[in-house]
Amino acid sequence: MSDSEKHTDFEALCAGYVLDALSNEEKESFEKMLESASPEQKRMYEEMQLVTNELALASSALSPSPELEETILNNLPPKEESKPGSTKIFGLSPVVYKVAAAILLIATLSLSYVSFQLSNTVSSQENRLTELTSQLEKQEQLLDILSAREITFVNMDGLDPSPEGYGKIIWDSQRGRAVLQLANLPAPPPESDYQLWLIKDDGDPISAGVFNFNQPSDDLFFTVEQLNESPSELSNTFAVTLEPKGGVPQPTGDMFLAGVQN
Amino acid sequence: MRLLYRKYKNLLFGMIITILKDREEAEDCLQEIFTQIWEKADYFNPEKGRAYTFIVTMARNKAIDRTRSKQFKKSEKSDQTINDFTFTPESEGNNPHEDLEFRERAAIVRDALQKLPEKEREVLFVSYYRGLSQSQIAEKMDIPLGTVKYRMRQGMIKLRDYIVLDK
Repeated sequence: MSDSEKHTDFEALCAGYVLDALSNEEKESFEKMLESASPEQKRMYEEMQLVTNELALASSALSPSPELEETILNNLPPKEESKPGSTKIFGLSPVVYKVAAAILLIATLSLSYVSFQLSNTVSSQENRLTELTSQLEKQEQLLDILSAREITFVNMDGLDPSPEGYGKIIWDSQRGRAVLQLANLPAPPPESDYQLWLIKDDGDPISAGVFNFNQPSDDLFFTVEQLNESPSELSNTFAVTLEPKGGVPQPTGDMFLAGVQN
Repeated sequence: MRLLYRKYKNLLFGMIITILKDREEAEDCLQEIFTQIWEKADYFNPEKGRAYTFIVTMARNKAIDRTRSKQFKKSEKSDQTINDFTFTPESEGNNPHEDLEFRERAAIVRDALQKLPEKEREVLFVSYYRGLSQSQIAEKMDIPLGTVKYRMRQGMIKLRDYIVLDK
């Protein structure tokens, strides 16, 4: 491998790209590579991004001054205040009165509009913060499972309906819970859900819950609370099928993902 | 917002003090970060990424932007020494400032970094905590650009193996 090949292949550019350390030309070159990257290369890119984000944890956590909390929370940007205008119209001609009245009317309407917009903004920000909080709670649940003493990983590969899809199961069998990651799967149609199955040895599939999402992504994590099964010592297969909304007792739809515990 | 602040303050403060090397400046920056989180909450899309990624990326960018200001460059803080990821007793698992949720992940990251050759770790540190490009790193460390690229590539591949694939 020549020196230039060593530094312009996918891996080398990927490492520099996720750290934002490439020249503009190299960035463009990598972004083009990414457009036509194989699923394995895309996975490498996502995993290197994850690693980069984890580097923040390498520094020692330190506490800022206790009083900073109130300073920050009390100084969040105030909502824009209306600016009352002062209009001196005494002693002016009727035409000026009319102009001033028109300006006042426009100003009043504008302020009403601004007030309406601000109210929408506040409401929207509150919704986002609720989402952030909900996301944090979800992450706490996921990490709780990850912290189990014994966990089992099962990778699921994409099958015919969606060969680029993949998934992972992180199974805390002692507490009957698991984390399911779904990646590169199309969003289920409105009348359908994805359903997770556990097949022990050659037995009947056991439902482990239904899952839904609106937009495909490579970072979809779900907690599985219905996995109160002890793993088989011989073989544990996980599969994801597309089923009617709410799920079915036994699989009937196309299988999108499947994987066997090694 | 208070919940978010309490969850992330120590993690972010530790990170930005590593970048800015000044407590007062870091507290000022932390205030700016949380103000921006409040203002940019609209742009956060949980389906596109984790809250952690959104917050940490924003914080790192803010702190690094400060190091690029003329005022910062004039100060002693922009010294020419090459730092490395430091592993103090506090970072060895019982740091009272560390959020429980982050403790286990932090231990994995630090363990993975310690397994890297020092030269690869240095390149990753300068890139992540100083926000330098590969050519700037080559100049700062006085090594060929190809060497920087090689060390960065090797370091990231190994970290990926230790942090992601070994999980």
